[in-house]
Amino acid sequence: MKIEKRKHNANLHSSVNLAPKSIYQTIWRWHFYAGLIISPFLLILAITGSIYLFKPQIEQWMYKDFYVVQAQQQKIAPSKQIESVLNQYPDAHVLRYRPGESATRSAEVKVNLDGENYTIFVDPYNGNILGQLNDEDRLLDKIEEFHGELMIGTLGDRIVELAACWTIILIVSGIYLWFPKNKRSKKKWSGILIPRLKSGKRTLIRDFHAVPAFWISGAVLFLVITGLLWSGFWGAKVQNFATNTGVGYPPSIWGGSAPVTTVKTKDIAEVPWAAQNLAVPSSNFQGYVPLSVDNVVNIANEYGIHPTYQVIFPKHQEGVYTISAFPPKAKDEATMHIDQYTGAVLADYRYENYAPIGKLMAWGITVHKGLEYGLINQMIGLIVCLGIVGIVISGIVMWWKRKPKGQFGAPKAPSVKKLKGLLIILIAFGLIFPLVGVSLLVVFLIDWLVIQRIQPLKQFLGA
Amino acid sequence: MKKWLMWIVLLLVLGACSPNKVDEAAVYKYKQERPLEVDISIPAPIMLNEVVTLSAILHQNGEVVENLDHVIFTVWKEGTDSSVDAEKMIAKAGGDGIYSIQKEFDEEGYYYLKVQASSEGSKIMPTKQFYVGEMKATEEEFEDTTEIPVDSEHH
Repeated sequence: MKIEKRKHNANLHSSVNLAPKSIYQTIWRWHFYAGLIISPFLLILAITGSIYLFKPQIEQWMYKDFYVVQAQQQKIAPSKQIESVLNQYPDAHVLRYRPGESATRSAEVKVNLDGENYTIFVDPYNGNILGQLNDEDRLLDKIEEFHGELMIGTLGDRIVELAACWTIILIVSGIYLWFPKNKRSKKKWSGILIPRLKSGKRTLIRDFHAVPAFWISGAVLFLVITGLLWSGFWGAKVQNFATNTGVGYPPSIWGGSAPVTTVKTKDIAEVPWAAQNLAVPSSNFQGYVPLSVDNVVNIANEYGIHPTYQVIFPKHQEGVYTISAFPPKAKDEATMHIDQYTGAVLADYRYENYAPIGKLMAWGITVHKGLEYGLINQMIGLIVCLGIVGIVISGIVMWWKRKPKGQFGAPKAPSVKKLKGLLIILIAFGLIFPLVGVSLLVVFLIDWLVIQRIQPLKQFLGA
Repeated sequence: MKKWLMWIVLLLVLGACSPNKVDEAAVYKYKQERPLEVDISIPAPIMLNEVVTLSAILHQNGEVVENLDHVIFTVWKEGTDSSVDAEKMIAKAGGDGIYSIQKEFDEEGYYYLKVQASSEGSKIMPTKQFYVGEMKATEEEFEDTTEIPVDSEHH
């Protein structure tokens, strides 16, 4: 064992001597600490992500009694379907209506009932209620919430964003550490592209960390960048910036408000403005009558919107009907705003109307979700997620094996502050991802104010 | 060391304060529709057995829309079936984007007028409700305080 250890150290040295040793040590130290701190979050993201990837299949199976209907001759009008829901739930406010994309798919009416959102499944052929789901009870939505914000709202969103940004630091530093140093070695690829199976246990664990990590690093970077587009801080800023400069999504799809009605507001009826889902309004007044949902569905079909669309009801008197379709393939996406009184199409944004960066983001998002290319997309996503789990575990094992008893076992290295080039890269990174910048400041402050002043702590952390 | 720390803080603050919403003008950088806009005007009050003019002014792209030859006005009484009992008329273009029909009512009550028009790919079908006869003094007052629950969901 001792001999093996010495051999390993020798190995390490010979592999380092081409790079300036202090830089290598410093990067190793950063990789070590970053990995240690964000590995729990990476595990959460990878595990929840690998489940969420299969949302279509899982929900199809979980809710098949709600989803599947017997195909018949003629569907009844959407307004009749909604009426049938309101007969059963008289106090419900209708928020959305989803007609169903095929002959055997139920229609969905999303309502708000006593402050909670429910999806009511309706047989579109006869208006029978198939069942209801409280949105709070949807397992896959919970998993998504865990994946996106650790189920603790905005704070969770920021933590996930921070973990994602730090993952980029891990990937870059990891690749530096992995990068082949000894070009003249005969076995060029072992330990680089394929793991060395017969060079001892430590080498094996190291190779099981670094080699697969290299292989999936591109995919992980892709998931991180596309995932960051959802994040509440960086993602929102990037989306708004792209939309404002005309290179991203048109407004109202991610950020920005939808248009409002074109009719004169004085002519809008002074009636209790509620979800007017009925074909004929129930009260008398003088003024414009909101369009029936039947008209809206007709318009959507006339305009050839992908059948997975849903109709989002106007949220206020001057608001619009929004038709929104986010099917598996980005190219089929559509967002359409319809004047709730005149029926005029006020905006009609399809994938073709996204600016280049918007198109790229839309495609990235559907690939991230495993939807764009079907099963093969899901399988690759799963492999990458499992890979992340494996890398995290092998990374921790590596540290545990190396760690001397009673010490933290962090690589000792000169402070990054003494390495100008690295420092500049870090600062630049901290400016592109402001949360990283803030976290770096916190790290430096803790180091400066606490760790450097308490000798045992300093020694323990190798600072 | 202190200097660069200050710079980072400054830049971070600047970054955090950058506009965090979509400009109103952003909409002009993407595909735009040219929706038909309508203003339906119905005289009030309308007396029984009196010929009245029901009209609609059409605008598109900030200009009046003239020479549409297929602007359809449909009138029906509340409580009747619009697909059966409605009266459909092609409205006359009177210039300046005004389209109108003449109509005489012989029954009191609430009526609907639907205007259908299309121009350059934009199609509209607004319906306005109005009253024929002497409005009773006890016309119901409605409150407009219904709060619609917010439905915020990201795709």
